[in-house]
Parts: sequence; structure tokens; C-alpha cells
Amino acid sequence: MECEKVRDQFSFLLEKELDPLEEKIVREHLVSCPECQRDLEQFDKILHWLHCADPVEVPDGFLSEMLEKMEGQKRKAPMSEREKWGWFDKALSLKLPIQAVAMVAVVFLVLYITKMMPIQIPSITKNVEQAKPPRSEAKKIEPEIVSKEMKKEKVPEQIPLAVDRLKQIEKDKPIILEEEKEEKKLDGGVVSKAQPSEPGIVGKVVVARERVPLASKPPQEIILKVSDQGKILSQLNELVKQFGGEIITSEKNALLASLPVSTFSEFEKDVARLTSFEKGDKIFPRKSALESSSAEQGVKRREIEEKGKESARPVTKREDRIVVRIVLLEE
Amino acid sequence: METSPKIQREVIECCKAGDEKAFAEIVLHYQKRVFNIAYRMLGNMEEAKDLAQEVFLTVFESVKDLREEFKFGAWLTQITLNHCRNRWKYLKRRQYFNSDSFEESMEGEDGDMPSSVAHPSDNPEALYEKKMIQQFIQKGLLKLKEDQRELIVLRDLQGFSYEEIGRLFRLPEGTIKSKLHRARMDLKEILERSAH
Repeated sequence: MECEKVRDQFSFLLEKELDPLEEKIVREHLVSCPECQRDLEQFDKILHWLHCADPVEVPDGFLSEMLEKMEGQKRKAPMSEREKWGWFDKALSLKLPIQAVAMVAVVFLVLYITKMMPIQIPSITKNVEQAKPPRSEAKKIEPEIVSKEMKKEKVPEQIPLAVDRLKQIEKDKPIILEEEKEEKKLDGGVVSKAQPSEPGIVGKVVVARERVPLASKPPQEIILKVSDQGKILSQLNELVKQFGGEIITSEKNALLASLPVSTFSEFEKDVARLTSFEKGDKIFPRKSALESSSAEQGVKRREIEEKGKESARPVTKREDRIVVRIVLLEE
Repeated sequence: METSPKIQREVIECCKAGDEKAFAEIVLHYQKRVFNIAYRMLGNMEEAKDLAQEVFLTVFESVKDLREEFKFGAWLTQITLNHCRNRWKYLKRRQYFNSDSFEESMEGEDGDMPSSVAHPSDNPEALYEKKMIQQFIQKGLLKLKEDQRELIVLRDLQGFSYEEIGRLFRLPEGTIKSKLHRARMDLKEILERSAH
């Protein structure tokens, strides 16, 4: 019998599971083969070690520790149960608000899309054109007004921004006046009613808001017959400033200015007085009505100056203004 | 043959009903077997304790689903082996068996193959030698394939019958015997190699 086959029978031989004939053959081989004999001895020794291995004692507190673990799991279990269904409760509690928010979002989306429709834009442009904006600025104002419509909701948040922007506009007024001059040239001398746009959208919107009522009124016209145009022009400039007004354009024989409504009548009187001073009683028919004591005039001037100072306040607090065109005719 | 006698059916019934006292009784009855299988399979006392506790917690949770109470012992052994397999994989992934902590936990030393363990006595030297042999064997077991280790643990260390092992592995007894013999021969080779 081959050694390999004998070695395969070691377990059966030691556990006495071989039939007598097989056992006899294996034992005969073992007697004749010292190597297999030695292998069997080693095998038997290891098997003996395995069978003699003492069981390991369970560590102390095994049961109590495990019961503690079990209690811990029990405490966690209701929590996890709650957590398991917690998301469902949350989802339910969020369901209605989510629906409401979704509805609002849809409404805003529809409004946004409707406002962005190209059909709507001409109507808006038409409104803007009523204020007769210069052609060069028309395209710029369109998106301004559209954006104004779209951002209607956000305007309260933007008020501080707008005020800042207006301050900036105040600073930039000389630039605006220059632009207005150009516009006037383009429009053939027609007074510009829509004001030139500013770089910022919000600024533009507020400026448009401010200037539309001003532009919608036709300019007052005063025709003065004077001998010295240059002198009167400079005096008129001073008067306009004194009454809190602004020179829009100044030409050789004409002056376009905007004045606060409240000071306009006083301004008109002073202009009349100016011409009367220049020309005497003959020329200005309203002279007699404008006669007043010098003390009264002094008081009025102070008041006017105060009003003029007030007019320098931020644009949001400004009163309505009148555009006046003063034409100087040579006598 | 199983090392522990079967527990009374009533105790299992009570445990099924959630009786913690009955459960504690079951734990006390089977803890040694479960812990020893776990220790022999993993080679670490702490891991074995943790695993054995997990096994009993699983038993308490799922005993209500056990239909045949007379198979409780086999069912428990099956749960233990499954837990051991999972833990083995987990520890192997974490390189636990190559780590220093594992070497320390074994506290064994390689060297000449111990000559005998057949005559343990009160002699400290003999006790020491016996302890060394235990560690030597344990190291060899951990180098075996998992299914081979299971067979040796169940048969040679826990004393399960071939029939019981056959039922656990769902294999014929003859196959179990052949596989077990192969496992023993491999263990012999491993121990001889580590002794030299």
C-alpha cells in the first residue's frame, strides 16, 4: 500500500473506523515504513492535544454585561423607531408649506414669463415714449422700466440703494446737463423730458420716476425784452440758483431752468423786478404788481434761500419742479 | 455529541415570549460553548466575548421565529458560526491578524514543537508547557482555512458528532470525515512548519 493512501487513513485508524482488513493492511505498512510511522505519531500527538485542550472560561460578568447591552438596545430601539418615522412626520408637516411655496413660485414664474414676452415690451415702451425720451436713450429706458416692473417686489429692499444712487446722481449732475445738451441738439431744440440714463438700473428707475412728472409739464416761457442780454443772463443765472433752481441749458439769448414750484412765483416776480430795474416802468407790464418794500423782499429772500437750501436735500424729498424757458429779446 | 445537554423546551418557549429570566437561563446554559467556539475561531478573548454577547442578543431578538425548539442547540451553533465568519472577514479586512495587538493577545512563542501535553499535573512547568501547547495549537488553527478550522473546532475541541456537523454543514457524514481528516493533516503540517 502506498504511503499516501496510508496517511489518508490516519483519522479512521485512530478513531477505529476502519474495518479489520483495512486496519491490518495499514498496520502492516506502518511497520515496514518508518516515515509513515513517524507521521502517524505526530498526527496522533496533535489530535491528542486538540482533545485535551481545556475549554476557555467565560469572562466574569459576561451575562450582566450582555443584559446591560440589551437594555441599551431597548432604549435605542424606540428612538430609532421614532427616527425611522420621523422623516415621514416632517415630510407631512412640510407638505403644505411646500405646496404653498410651489404655488407662489409658479405665480412668480408665470408673471416673469409674461413680462418677458416681447408683445408686452412695446406697450411699456409706449408709456416711456409718452415722456418723449430721446431716441438714443429709448432703448436703454425700455429694459429699465421692464426691470422695474419685474423687480417691483424688491423695491423696498432697494430703497437705501436708490438713495445712495441718487446722491451719486446729484454729484453727476453736470455730466447729465451736458448729455441733455446733446439730446436737445438731436431733438431739434425740444426740451428733453426723459432724462439721460445712469449706469445703475435702480438709479435709472428712480431717476425716470423723478423726472417723468417734471417732463410731463410743458415749460413755462417768459419773454424778456432787454438791452444788455449778457448782463441779464448772468443775473438770471444767479436768481435761478438763489431760488433753488437748476440751469438746464444756457444759450446766448435763452435760458432753460427748472425751479421748485413753491419758489417759482417769487422767482417770476424777481425776474420782473430785474427787468424793471433794467428797463424802468415802461417795459414790463407786471412791474406794479411786483412792487414791495425792501424789508419785505429781504425777508422773502431769506425764506427763498432757506427753501433753496431745502431743495438741495435728497431728491426723494424734493417738491415738484417747473421748467421755465426765459427768452431774451433785444429791445 | 454536544457538550451541553439540551435545555428544557419550556425555557425556550418563555424566552420566545420575551421572558428575560428564561433568556438569562439560556445564556448561562450555552455561554461556555458559544464563547469557546468564538475564541477558537477568532483567537482573541475580547473579540470572543463581544461576539458571544452579540450572538445571544441575536438569539433573543430572533428566537420567536424558531419553529422547532428541539433544534435550538444547532440553531444557536449556526448563528455563532455565522457571526464568527462575519467577524473574521471584518477583522481580516482591518489587517487585525497581522497587527501587533493580535500577536500580543496570543502571547505565544514559536520554537520547538512541544513534546507532550499528555501528563498535566500541578507542576508549574507542566502547566506552563500546557499553556504553551494551547497557544501553539491556537496559532496553527488560525492559519487554517476557515471551513477547516470550523470542522476541527466543532469536532476535536467541542466534541460535536459527525452527524451534527453534517447537519450544520448540510453535508454527508463521509464528506465531513474526509474534510476533517484533510484539516487535521493540514494543521499537522502547519504546526511542523512553525516548529522548525
